[in-house]
Amino acid sequence: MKGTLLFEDGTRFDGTLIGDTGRMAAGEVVFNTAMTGYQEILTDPSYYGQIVVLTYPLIGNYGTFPEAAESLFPWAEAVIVKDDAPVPSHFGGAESFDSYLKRYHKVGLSGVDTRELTLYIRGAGTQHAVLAESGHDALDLAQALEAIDLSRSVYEVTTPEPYHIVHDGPHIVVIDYGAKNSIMEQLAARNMSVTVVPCTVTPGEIEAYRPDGIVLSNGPGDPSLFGDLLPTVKHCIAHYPTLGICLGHQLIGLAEGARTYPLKFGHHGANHPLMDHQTGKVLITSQNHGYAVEAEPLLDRYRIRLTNLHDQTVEGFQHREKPVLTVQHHPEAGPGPWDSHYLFDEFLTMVREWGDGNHA
Amino acid sequence: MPKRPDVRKVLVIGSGPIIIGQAAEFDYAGTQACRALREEGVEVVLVNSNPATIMTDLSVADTVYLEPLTVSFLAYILGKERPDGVLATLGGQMGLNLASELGRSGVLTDLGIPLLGTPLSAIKMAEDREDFRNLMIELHHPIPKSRTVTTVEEGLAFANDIGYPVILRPAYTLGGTGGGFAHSAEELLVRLPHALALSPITQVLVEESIAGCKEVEYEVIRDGAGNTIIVCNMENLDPVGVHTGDSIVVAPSQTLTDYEYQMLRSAAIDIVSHLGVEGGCNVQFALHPDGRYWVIEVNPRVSRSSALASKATGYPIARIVSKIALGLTLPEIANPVTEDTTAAFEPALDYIVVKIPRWPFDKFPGADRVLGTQMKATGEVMAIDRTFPGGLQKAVRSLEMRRTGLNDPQLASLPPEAVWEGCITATDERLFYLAEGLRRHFRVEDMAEKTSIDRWFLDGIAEIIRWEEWLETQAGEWVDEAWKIKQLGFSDARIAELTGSTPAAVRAQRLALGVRPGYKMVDTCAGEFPARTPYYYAAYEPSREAVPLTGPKVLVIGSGPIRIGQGIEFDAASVYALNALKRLGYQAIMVNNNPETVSTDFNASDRLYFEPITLEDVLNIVDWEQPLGVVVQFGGQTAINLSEALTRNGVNIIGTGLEGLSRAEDRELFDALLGELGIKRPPGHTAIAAPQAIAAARDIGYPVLVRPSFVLGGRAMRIIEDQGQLEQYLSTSTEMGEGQPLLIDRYMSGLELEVDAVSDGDRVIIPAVMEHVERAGVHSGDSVAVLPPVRASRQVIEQVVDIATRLCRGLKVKGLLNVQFVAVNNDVYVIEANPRSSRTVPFVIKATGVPLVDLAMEASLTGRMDDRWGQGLLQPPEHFSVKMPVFSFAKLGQVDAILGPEMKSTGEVMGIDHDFSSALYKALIAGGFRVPAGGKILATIADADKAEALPYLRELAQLGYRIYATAGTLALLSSRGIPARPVYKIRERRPHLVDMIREGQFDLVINTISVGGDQEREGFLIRRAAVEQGILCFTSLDTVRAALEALRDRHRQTFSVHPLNEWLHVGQVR
Repeated sequence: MKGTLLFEDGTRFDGTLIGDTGRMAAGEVVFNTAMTGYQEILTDPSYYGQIVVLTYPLIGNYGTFPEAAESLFPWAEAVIVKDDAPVPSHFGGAESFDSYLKRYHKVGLSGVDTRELTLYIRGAGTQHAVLAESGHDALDLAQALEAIDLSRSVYEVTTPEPYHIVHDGPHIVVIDYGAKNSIMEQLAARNMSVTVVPCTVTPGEIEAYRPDGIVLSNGPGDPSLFGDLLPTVKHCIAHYPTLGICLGHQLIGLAEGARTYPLKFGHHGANHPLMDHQTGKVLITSQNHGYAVEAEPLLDRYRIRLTNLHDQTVEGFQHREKPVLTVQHHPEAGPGPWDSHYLFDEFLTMVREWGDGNHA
Repeated sequence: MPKRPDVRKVLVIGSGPIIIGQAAEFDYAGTQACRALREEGVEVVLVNSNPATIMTDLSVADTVYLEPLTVSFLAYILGKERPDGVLATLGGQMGLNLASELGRSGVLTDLGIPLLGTPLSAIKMAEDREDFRNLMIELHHPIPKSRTVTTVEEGLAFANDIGYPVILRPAYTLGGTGGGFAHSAEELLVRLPHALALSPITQVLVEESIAGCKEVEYEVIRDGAGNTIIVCNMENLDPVGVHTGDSIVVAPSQTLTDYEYQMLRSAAIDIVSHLGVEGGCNVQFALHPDGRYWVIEVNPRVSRSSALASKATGYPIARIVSKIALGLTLPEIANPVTEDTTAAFEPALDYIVVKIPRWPFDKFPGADRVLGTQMKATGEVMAIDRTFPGGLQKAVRSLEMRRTGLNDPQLASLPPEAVWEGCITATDERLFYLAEGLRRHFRVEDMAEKTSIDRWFLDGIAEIIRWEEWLETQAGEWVDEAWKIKQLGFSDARIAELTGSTPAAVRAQRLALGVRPGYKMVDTCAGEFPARTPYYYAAYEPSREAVPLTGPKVLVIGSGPIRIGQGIEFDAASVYALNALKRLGYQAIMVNNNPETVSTDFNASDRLYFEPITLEDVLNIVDWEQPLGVVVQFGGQTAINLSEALTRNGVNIIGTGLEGLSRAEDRELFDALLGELGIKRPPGHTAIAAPQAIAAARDIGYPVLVRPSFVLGGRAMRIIEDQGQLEQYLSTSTEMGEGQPLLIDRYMSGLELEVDAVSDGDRVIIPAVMEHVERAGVHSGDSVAVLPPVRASRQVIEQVVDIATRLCRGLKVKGLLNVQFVAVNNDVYVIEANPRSSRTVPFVIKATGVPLVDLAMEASLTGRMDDRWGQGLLQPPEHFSVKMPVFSFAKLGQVDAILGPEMKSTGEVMGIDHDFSSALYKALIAGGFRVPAGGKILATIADADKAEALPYLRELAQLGYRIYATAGTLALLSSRGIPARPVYKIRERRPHLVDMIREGQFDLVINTISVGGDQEREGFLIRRAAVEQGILCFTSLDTVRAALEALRDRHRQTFSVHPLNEWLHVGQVR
C-alpha cells in the first residue's frame, strides 16, 4: 500500500506503508543518524509524538526482541525508512520489523529516499507532518496536522504508578519524564536501589522515599511548557545529589533561572562529540534532543561541564558547590556509545560522599 | 595540546614494492601523510623504493629517496638528513618492521631521533604474541585459548578441558601442513600424532576453535591526549577463518545489534588505549552469534582495512593520524570533509559499502584457490549503494571478471553436491556458488547453517535471484519495475541477458522512462551537516543531490582493482592526469572503484564518482556531467577497452582517437600500418579458431609466441615449441573466441627494448630508451629494465627512436605510446605498441624527470606540447635507473616461480645511482636480494643452459661465493676447475636440496627450467621451496649475468644515498 508523508509546507515523500498500515500518524519529524539501535530509538519515550526518520537505509536486519526495548513499547508516532528487512537475522530468533510495528499499532513508511528527506529537514528545520495512505482525504490530513499537540507529552509517557528495582546500595529516586530502561540498568549495575516515580511526584512524596539521590530522567517535548514540574525539581537539587539527563538537564536549567531554546533540527544520533571539561577528553555520545539550555544565567552557580564540539552548545552543567550534575546527552546509551558510563560512577560517588557527609 | 614545535622535519617510511598483503593502500596513506605534514609547515623527507607511487613524486614530499628500504640504507639517510622524527606507521608492516629494527639496533637512539606517533612499546606489545596475550588476559578480553603441546596426552587433556572442536597447528611446517580441525577426542587421537610427527620440533599448538563466528573489525584512532574514536566498523560476509583481505566485507556492520556493536566498540577502545597507540589501529574480533566474542588481532598502524574505512566513510584516517603524530589532538583537527566540524567524531553512514577482493587466479590457473589465513588477493573493489543487493552487484561488475551480475553459467551444469561444496568451501568463487544454490532453491536456513554465513547476507543474494527469475519470466513487463530492479543493482547488460534484449535497448527503454541514477554524497555525517566533499555514488532514487560541475571539465577513467598486469602504475598515471588537468584549467572528474588508491582520495580530483567502470556506469556519469570528453589512456586496459563503445555512444575521447587505438590493437590493421611505414615485426598471424591457429604456426615456423589480443600483462601468453604444445594450449585456453582473436608470432630471442613516447601527432618526445636485462620471452613486466641502455648499440637505439617516432605519427597519437622492441643483431623489430600509459610511465618520470603525463594531457587537450622539452630522444640522464620486478609467489601455493611470457610480478622497485652496477645492486637489495660475502648459492642448471652458465658460476666462485650443485652440474664444474660442493637430488637421499633450502642453507638459488621428467618436477619444488623460504630465485641466466655485475663491483664501490631531487636537479639540492 502506497503511503505519503506530507509536511505542513506541502512537501511530500512517497513510499510503501508498513506496520499498521490502516493508521494515520501526525507529529514532529526528526531524523536520527545512528546506524544501529532502531528498536531502542522507537521505544525511547522521548520520541513520543515524533515521526522518526532513520538515516541508515537498512533497518530491521537483526529484527526486534525484548532485550532491546527501552520501555514497554514503541512511543514514536511513526517511522520512516529506506528499506526494512522482511526476515530478521538474530540468534535465538526475533520478530521482523514490520510485524513488530503491526503488533504495537505503529505505522511506518518504507522505500523512501531518506537522505533527501534528511537534507530537506536539515534545510527547513523541525516541522510537523502527517503520514497516511496516498490519496487520503486532504481535509482529514489538514485536521490531523492541526490536531498535533505535544504540550502534555511528559504526562502521557510517565509511569502511572511508582515501581521499585531493589538492590542493597544507595536508594535513588528516578523521576520518570519518559525514562529509558538503560538509565535504571546503569543505576542497578552499580548496585543502586531504584524507585521510579511519576513526573507529578511532589516534594513531600520524595521526602517520604528518603532517597540518597535523585535522577531526573529524559523525556519528550518542549521543556518550557512544563513549568508545573519545576517546584519538585527545585526541591530535589536543593536537597539531594541530583543527576539530570536530557529533559532532566533542561528542567534543572529552567528551575535555576535559565531559558531553553529550540535547535533548528535537534541532535539525534549516536556520534556526537562532547568535550568533558573536567577530564579534558572527548566523549562520543548518544543524543536525542530538540532544545538546549542557555548557559549565561547559570554560570555564577554552575560550571559548564560538557560542550558539544559540533555546534558548541552546552551539553552539561556541574554545580560549583552542590552535588548536582546535568547532562544533555544520554550517558546510559541504548542505543549508542558507552563512553559516558563513568558519569554514573561519578553520580554514585556524589551520592556516597553526600551520604557520608550527612551521616557524619 | 599544541603541535610539537620541535618537529620541523620528518622522515616518512613508505611500504616498498607492491606484494600481496601490502599494496596500493600504502601509497594512498603515505601520500595523504606527506600532504598533511606539509600543511603543518613540516619539511617531509620520504623514503620508498617503489617508483610506481604518487608519494615518490617530488610534488608530494620535499625530499624523496628512491632507495632500498633496509635498516642500513635508512641509517645512511637518517644520518644524512637528521630529521626531527620518523613516521613509520603509514608504511604498512614494512614500515613497522623497519621502525622496530631501527629502534632495536640503536640507530634511532644514536642519532637522537624519536619515532613519532605510536611508540615502539605499543608496537611490540601488539605484535608480540605472548605480550599481547598477557595484556588481553589482564584486561579480561577473551582470546582463543591455546596451548603448545609436545605429546598426545598433553593435547588430549587440554582439548578435553576447552572443548571441541579444536585447531591443531604444527610448529614450523610450511603453509600449515598437517594442521586442521579435530572435532572430537577420537579425531584428535588420529590427527595429533600425525601433526606432531610433521613438526620438525615435535610441537603442536592446540587452539580453541572460533571458526564459524562472525568476523568484525573496528578502525580506531587515538591521539596523544587519549581521545579515542571509531572511524568505522566492518563486518565480513565470510566467517572467521578467511583472511579479512580475502573476505567480502561490508561497512558498517549489518547484523550486529546495538549492544553487540557497542560491546565490541568499547573493547576496541579499551585495547587501543591500554596499548598506548597514538595514531591508527585496527582491531579484529570474532563474534559468536550468541553474543560471545574473542579478540583475534590488532594492527597498530594504518592498514588495508583503514584505507577501506577511509574510503567507506570519507574520513581521511592517514591524514588525521599524521597530524596526531605531530602532537595535535583530535578536537584540534578539523574534519576536512565538512570543514566546519571537528575530526573528533564518528562518521555516520547512510549507505552500505561492499568490498570484494580481486584474486589473481585468472593468471594462475594452477594455484590453490581455497582461501584461508594467508591472503591471496592482489587488490579489491568497493561499491557504495543504498541496498546490499545494489552494492553487491555493483562490486561484482567492478571486478572486471566479465560478469554482468551474479551469473556463472559454468555452475549451472554441476550436480547439487558440487554446488553445496562450492558454497561451503571458501574460494574466490564462493559468492557465485551461493547464488547458484539459491537459484536451485536451496533453503536459506540450511545454507546459513552449513556455511556459517549470516542469513541476512544470503537473504540479500536470494532477493537478487528472485528478481532474476521474475525478469526471466516477465521479460515484457520489466519496465514496470524498472526502479526497483535498478535499485537492486541489476546492470543493463544483465537485464538484457535475462529478458532476451540488448544492453543498448535496455538503456534506451530506461532512459525513455526517466530511470536514471541520482548521485549521492559521501559526507561522513549522514546528511546532518553540509559537506564540501566532492565524493559521490550512484543510487536509483529520484533525488539529484550532485549538481553537475560548472566550467570546462574532463572525466578521467581509472584502472579499477589492482591485478597482476594492471597495477598501481596505472593509478599513479591517473593521478598525474588529474593534476595535469587542474593545472591546465580544467575541472578534473575521476571515476574509479578501487578503495586502496590515491585516485580515489577525497581531494585527488575536483569530483570523484565511486562507481564500477563499465559502459553503463560511465555513460550515466557522462549523461549527468556532460564533460568535454573522456580520457581513457591512463586507466590501463580497463579504460581503453571502453573507448570503442564510448565513441559509438557519441562520447568524445580526449587523446588518441579510436582509429589510432584500433590500428594499434587490431593485428591486421597494425600489420598494414607497419607495412606502410616499412617497419619490421616478427612474422605473425591472427587466428579465431584452432585449425587456423595451427596452420598459422606452421606457416610462421616454431617456436611461436601465442597470446590473446586485448589483454594486459600477457595473460595466457605462451612460448610454444611444437604443434603438440600448441594443440594442448588451444584445448585449455578460454580466451579465444568471437571478437577475441589469438595472436601467433614468431618467437625471436634477442635484446628487448622499450620506450614510452609522448606525441601531439606530429612532434614526438622520447624521454629515454629502456633496455631489458632478460632476453625476449620473459614478459616485459617481469624483466629487469635499465635506463639508459647499457648494451644496445647506437644503431639499435637510433632505429628504436625512428620507429617510435613514425608510429606516433602513423597512429596520430595524441598523448602516450608505449612500444616494445626486440633487437636481433642490429635489426630492430616491433613486438607491440600500446597507445596508452604503460606500466613503465611512472618509472620513466622518476628516472628522467620528464613530466610525461602532463605533456600527454597537454597534447590530448590542445594538440600541442610544451616546447621546452624539445623533441626526439632527449639527452640521456647522467645516472642509471634500474627497475626490478617483485613477486608474491610465497603467498600463492602451487604457483611456479619460473619466469616466462606470462606476467607474474605484483610490484617493482627502483635503484638509482651513478653507474649501472650500483643502481642494479640497489634494485636487487630493494627487491629482497640478501647474499652475504661468501654466501651460499645453489645452482641447478638445465643441460641446455650449462655452457652458458659456466662463466657466470666460475666468476661467482672467484668472488668467494660457495656454489652448491647436484651431480651433473658438479661434474661439469669440477672438470673446469670451478670449486663447488655437492647436494643431493630429491630422489637420492635426505637431506636433499629442497630440505636444505627449507632449512635456510642457501642465500640465493639459480634454477633454469628443464622440460619434462623428474627434473621438471624437481625444478618446480626447488623454486617453491626458495620462494616460501623468502630466498631470491633467479630463473634466467640474464638476471644472473646482471647480478654478477652488481656483485663484482660491490667490493669496490662506496655506497651513497642521494635524493631524487639531486638526480633530477630539482630544488632542495644541498
